[in-house]
Amino acid sequence: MSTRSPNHESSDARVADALPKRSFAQLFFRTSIFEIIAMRGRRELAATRGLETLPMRVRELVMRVVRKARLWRHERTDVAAELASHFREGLARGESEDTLIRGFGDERVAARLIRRGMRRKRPLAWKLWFYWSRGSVVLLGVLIATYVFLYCRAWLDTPSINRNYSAEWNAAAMAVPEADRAAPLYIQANRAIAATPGLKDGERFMVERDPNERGYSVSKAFLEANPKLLELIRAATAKPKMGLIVSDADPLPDWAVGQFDDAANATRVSQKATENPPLITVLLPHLGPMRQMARFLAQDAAFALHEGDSARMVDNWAAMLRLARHASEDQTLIGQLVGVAVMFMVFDDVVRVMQSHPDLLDSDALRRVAHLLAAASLREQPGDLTLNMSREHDMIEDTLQRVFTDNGRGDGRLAPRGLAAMGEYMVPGWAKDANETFGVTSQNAAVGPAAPAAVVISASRRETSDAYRELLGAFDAERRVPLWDRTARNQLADVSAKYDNGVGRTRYFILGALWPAFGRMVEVERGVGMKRDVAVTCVALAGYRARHGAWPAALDELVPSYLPRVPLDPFDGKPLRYRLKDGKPLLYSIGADLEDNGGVAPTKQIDLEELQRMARAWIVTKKGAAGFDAVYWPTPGFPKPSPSLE
Amino acid sequence: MKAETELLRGAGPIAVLKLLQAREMYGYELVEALERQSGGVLAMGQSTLYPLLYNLEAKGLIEGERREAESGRERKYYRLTPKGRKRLEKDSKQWAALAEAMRNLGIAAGCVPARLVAEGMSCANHRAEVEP
Repeated sequence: MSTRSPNHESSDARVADALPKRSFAQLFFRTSIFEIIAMRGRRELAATRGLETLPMRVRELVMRVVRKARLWRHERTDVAAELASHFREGLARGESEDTLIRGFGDERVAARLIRRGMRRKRPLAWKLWFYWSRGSVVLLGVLIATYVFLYCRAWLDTPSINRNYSAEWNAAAMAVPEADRAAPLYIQANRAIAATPGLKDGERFMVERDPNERGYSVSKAFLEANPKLLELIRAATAKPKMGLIVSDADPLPDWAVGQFDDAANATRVSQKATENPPLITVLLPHLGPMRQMARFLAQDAAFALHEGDSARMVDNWAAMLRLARHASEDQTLIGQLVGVAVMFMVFDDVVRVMQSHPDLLDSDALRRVAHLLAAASLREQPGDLTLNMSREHDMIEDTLQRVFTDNGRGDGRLAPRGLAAMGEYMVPGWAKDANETFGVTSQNAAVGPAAPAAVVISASRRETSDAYRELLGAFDAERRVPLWDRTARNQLADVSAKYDNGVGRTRYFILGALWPAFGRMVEVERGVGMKRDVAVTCVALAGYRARHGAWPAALDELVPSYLPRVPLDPFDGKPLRYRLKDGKPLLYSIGADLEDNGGVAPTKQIDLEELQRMARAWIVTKKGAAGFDAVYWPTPGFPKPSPSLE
Repeated sequence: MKAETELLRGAGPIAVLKLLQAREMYGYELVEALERQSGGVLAMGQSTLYPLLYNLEAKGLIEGERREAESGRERKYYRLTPKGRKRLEKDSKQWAALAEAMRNLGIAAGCVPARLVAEGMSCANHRAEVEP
């Protein structure tokens, strides 16, 4: 507040001149909004009246302090006025110029303290803006420093590939004595297939069981053209172990024969295998040809049936079951699926033959078939039809060691370079795109601007491993729950949902890329057991009829001579449903609606996997599967599927 | 003897508040009074006093008013606010307790600066001089 009189105006102008000169632009841009609102500039400027009367050295001292204090315009004039007043008082009391300057103290310290003091007097809005802006700058600095640190770390991080899983895989195969290895004979058989005219390159062989169909004679001509082929396949299946050496060569030359024999593809065969390839790149080229060979055996079984050669038919079934065991020996998901598919062919064939030709096999042959079915296995232990996917676990662990760093205690963080290397396999063409788009190598592109964010967002090695084990544990728990004990709660689905969301898919993207289709595997595993139970029961029924000349009135009569126990209905845990209808057997399960509909078959073919899914849905919603059962004997007659569907 | 900066930082504000309790004063007057009444112990230059005044003003403990004195010179007079009085009362008790503790420990000897004791100043006389 000023009480000065109007006659001081001319003096104000001189004081204004004495203060630091500022252009209009400087005034415009360096005058804060707070100062403009306060409208104090001119008023306070007037308060410096008399500054020009001070000695030059004192006046310059005041000017320097005011300038160094870096204050708003009205603050500058206010402080200048007060300091000037102080010096005038001193001079008026007779103190010397030197004494006053000396007593003033350090001008830099004064400027700093004055600035601090005056800032504290500023409006709250300015203080909020000041601390917010300073805080933002500090935060930005911290973020930039953190980013730079993370970027450097991401650039330097490299995975430690300590284990060679494919070598361990091959070591187990090479431990099998050469005389016991089936793989070399399967390879010979594959070459024999390629050398046999009549089947185009890569064409699937279709099993035709109806002698009236053209395909039957075509198939017969093909197999008769190369009589050694079936011998080779049977000789291969007779070996105790597969003994397959795997690699990432594309394709494995031994198996390329018959699949790629044109000039363009021949060059691919020359690609060499790497010493320690990622397990997910290891090829399984034997599975396609082996499935083809299983079809040849099934076709020959059909020929044997119509020729009345029951021993040859059973031999083919036995060979197919051994081939299924060989195919599943690699412990991969796809290997297990091929093994299961071949077993399905046998089980379906057995049921079909028992119904169409119940008198073809004598008691001894039937006993042999029963034993073959009982011993059918996907593992070392005879009869064990649980899926063995150990190699899938190795595949996860191998990927983790290639994508994450290793701290020596089972943990580590995402290494972008490792991810880039794996990206070549997980996202084909990624490296080429990176090179064309950014002109950099794929590994450098991986350590791009987003690399630190990827490292921060990604789950750690241990978290990823733990998540995988949690999912695996849920799968194991789910596969042990009988279908009839299922509730709305699905442990595997619950755990999957935990990771199958936006955050989970982002943090655990490695698992997302590699996670096996375990959900379907529960139904596949249960389905193969169900099919075997049905096949064994059908053989037992035929065995009973062969000895007693009539069908049994109840399945209990089959125990223990033909069956160790009556198989359970997979849908409710009670014995399979059976009764005589019109003097013939009627064998069925209650089906997906969990109600006995008296053996009414569905109007279209529904496989056991689908029936299980329908049952699960029925338990929850009571919708979708009502009114029919799963009928095994007699096999419901459905329209023949088109070859493409088969 | 002049107080160390750290000690002055704690003692300066209450000393200024105490001086302004009696009457309003302007900057130069405060500098003089501080030096004289503290026997030079709390003497502070402009570089310290004015920032201190601005701080006290920012905290609302004192308020300044610019006006023309009888001499014709323009001055900014500072006076204690009600908030400043409360703060002075509270801080005085703390300083009294502190001084008592120092005396009990044998660090502080009496109630009058040593220089004034030599001149024969008693506690009562000194209090009468510094208090309104």
